[in-house]
Amino acid sequence: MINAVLIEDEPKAQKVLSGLVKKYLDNVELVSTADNIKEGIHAIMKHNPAIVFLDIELQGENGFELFDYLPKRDFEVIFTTAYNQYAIDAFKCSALDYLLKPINIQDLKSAIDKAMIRLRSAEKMDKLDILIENIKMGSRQQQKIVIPNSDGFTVVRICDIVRCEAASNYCTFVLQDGSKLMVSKTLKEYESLLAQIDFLRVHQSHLINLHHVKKYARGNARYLILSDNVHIPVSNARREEFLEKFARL
Amino acid sequence: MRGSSNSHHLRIAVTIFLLVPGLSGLLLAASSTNIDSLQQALEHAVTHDEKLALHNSLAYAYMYTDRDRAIAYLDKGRRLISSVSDRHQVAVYHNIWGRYYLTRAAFDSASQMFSDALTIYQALEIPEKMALTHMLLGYCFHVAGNPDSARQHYLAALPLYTDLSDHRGIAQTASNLGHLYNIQGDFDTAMDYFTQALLAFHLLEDSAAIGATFFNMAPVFRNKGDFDRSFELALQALDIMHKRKDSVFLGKIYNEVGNIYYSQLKNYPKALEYYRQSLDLKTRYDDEYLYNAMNNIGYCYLELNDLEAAERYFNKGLDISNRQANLTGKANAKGGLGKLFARQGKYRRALTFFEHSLTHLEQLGDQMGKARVLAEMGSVWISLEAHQKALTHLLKALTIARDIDAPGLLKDIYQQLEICYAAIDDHAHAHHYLKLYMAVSDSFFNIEKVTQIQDLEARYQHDQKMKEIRILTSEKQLQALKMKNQHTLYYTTLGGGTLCLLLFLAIFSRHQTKRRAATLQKMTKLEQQALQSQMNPHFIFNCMNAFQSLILEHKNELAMDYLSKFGSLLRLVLENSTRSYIDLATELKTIKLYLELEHMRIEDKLSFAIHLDDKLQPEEILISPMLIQPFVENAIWHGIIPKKAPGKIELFVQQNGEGIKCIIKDDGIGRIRSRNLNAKKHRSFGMQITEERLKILNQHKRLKEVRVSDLYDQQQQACGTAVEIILPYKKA
Repeated sequence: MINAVLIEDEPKAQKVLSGLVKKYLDNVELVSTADNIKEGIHAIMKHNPAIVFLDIELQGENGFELFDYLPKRDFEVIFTTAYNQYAIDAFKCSALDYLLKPINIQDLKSAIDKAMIRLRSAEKMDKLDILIENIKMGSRQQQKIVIPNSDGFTVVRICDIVRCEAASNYCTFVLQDGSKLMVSKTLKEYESLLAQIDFLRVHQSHLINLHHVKKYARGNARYLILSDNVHIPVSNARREEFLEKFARL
Repeated sequence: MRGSSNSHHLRIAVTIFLLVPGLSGLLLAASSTNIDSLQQALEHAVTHDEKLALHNSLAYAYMYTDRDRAIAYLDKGRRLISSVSDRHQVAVYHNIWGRYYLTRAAFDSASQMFSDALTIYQALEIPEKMALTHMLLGYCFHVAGNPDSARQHYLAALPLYTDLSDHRGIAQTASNLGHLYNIQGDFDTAMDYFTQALLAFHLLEDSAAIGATFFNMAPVFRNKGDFDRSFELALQALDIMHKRKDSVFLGKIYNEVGNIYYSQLKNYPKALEYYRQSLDLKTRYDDEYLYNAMNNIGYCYLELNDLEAAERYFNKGLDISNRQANLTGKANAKGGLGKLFARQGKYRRALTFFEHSLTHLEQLGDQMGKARVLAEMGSVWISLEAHQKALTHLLKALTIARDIDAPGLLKDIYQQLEICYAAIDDHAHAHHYLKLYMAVSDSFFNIEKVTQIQDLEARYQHDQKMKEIRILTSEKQLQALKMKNQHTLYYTTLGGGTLCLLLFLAIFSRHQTKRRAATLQKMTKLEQQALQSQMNPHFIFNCMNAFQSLILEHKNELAMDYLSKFGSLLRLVLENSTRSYIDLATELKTIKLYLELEHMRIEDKLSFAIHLDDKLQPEEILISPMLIQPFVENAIWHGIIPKKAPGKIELFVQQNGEGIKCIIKDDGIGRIRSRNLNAKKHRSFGMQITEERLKILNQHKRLKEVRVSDLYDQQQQACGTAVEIILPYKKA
């Protein structure tokens, strides 16, 4: 049996999560529920839980503030949120699990399973550290992204990504140092994640970092040269958007 | 010591305009823009004559920007003088040195240089240059405190200018002479010269100079005891300078008005006010007269018995005067400090300062000032009970004051003499001076005069207002005229049936449509945003959480009930959002649904009531949708939820003249605590949009948009907030 603490201000949401835990998770016991960060810290210190469910939108507070008070963590965090695109982007960037409200039972079970695996493994490279670091970072290009692969994950600084190239159901990251990373995710997933950070999909199979554009060639065959000196075609549909975004850079 | 605190006052620093002619007429064009071309010319100059001329011009060009360079050019010029055939350039060379010494306040050296130049011009018989150099010499002696020599030179310049019909020269010289006679106490002659200056400036149509002359004349009348004339002149000067927006002059005039309040009306706070205004302007524009304002403020504080402040300002004044080697400034500051120490009972120290002040005034030939300081010293000696010494000083003061016929000063001196003689039991003399004192007092100063001056000021302010009104009226008339013209145009074009009208209408209507479209666009955008804010995603997801919780608890019927309410609300909001107007009944229904759902979510923590005025028929009243809900939401989120105990929301809807008044009242934690709790958070998006919408909706009707009041219980504890909004409406 492992202990869990819930930090959540919404009474109904508290009821839901405790109800779900009680009913569907035999190996987890919710030992304490806190309304705010301060109570949450007390509960964590008192119960030393293995898992903390943390809501991001608390009354007058931001759930991430918890980590300001607890720099050393020996528990797994499972984030919950109803609607916070910024937080969701942040979770995706660091490839962290999170639960969307209303909570789906399967999602909850899978999040707990993964947390248990991490608890048992000696994996010290914590994705949560990257998330926290990213949140504190002002410039988004300076933030880091977690790219999962077959044997774990790689952490890459966003400004070091030159481009992503699609190939059916996976895509390849080309980095500034010339190295390449293959991910079994679609280009679309990364496009939605990186579009606000000066990335643009200039072609069906190319997502580029606008900061790495070296040259743009007009004419019949429009193409770009990025810092890796590879010619990237620009589709007609994306030409306008590219020029506009590039001008605003 | 009877009445000593207010009966006599030292000379208040009077700002003056001494007019100094420029040298530019003597030189090759010398402005900073052509310094380069002058330097180039210098490289190619062959003869010594040419070189000296260029050195002169360059030295003058650098005089106020780079003294070292100016001196360097003057030094180079010195080596050329003996070998130069053009005597005229040598004279110019001397004049520039003189100018340089003037900037360093080295008056002796300056006058020496100007004299050298004068000798040359006299030999060459160039009357305009002679006049100019006399004027410069006069100015030099004037500021150096040698009034006799100054007068001599001014009087030499004046006929030369008259022969040349140089009105500016005449005016400047006459004005300086007027000032000179004024400080020497010959007010009538001073007046004659100022009048002459005034005439010449009128001929030149130089309003700035006229203002300056009015201003210079004001103290003459003041010294003569004619305050209303003095005040009138100062106000006239003020008027001119206001029109010209001339800050430097204005500063000086404020100073003069301050003087009148100080010495005649004894209204020290008011005087202080004017001095401060003058200081403000001077700080920005004219450093040279700063000491004046400082000293005068010092005098005001002295009269207001704030000795500490007075000392501070006198010291500032002294500091600036020392830096600028300005005798008048020094004399006034030291006189003020003397008076201050006398007030504090530090008589010996006071006497030292008076002594110093007297020396400066002697040098300046300032008779009035001398008499004042002597009277002050007499009063100090009375306090020290050295009556003989007191008498010596007072009688000296009396002689001067009688000489220059300064009634204000005489009054003070008579009073001091009366006190002094009474103290040594010389009752015959005491009585004599008392009688004189009373006689002067009567003629000199009475309540009527004060009223008269106050009337004058009121009149001045009234005039200013009238002027403004006149300007406004004429603008209106102009507009009316324009309108009339437009009408004429309209009818002619209509009559003629020309294209013009159509064009005009087309443009006008396009303009109108464009404007309407812009407003409409903005409104639509805000309405969309309002929809979003009412269907706040948090609200939607929170409701869903609540459903999930009810299902988990197997409260199926309740869950279904709320789910259908949620559906109704969604439908209403979607419908409302497509319309500009909905009836009040529908809006209230929406709010009720919203409140019921929130009640479900936070359970027994929230109760609510909607009070609709019986006289209202909600189906007949059309309003803009979704204007009330954001305020209700705000009350719940920031008033009720942070509160530990259960809370209540009440909505009152009433008719209010041209609008519908809604009061959203909560018994929550109040705005102040809420603000503290949410210090880091921004203000609610929904509220912001709604207020903006109300502003647009109300812009054509003069309705107050939102009024928020904090509620307090009997113990004066915050017990909620009431928001009052007035919605424009129309009948169905």
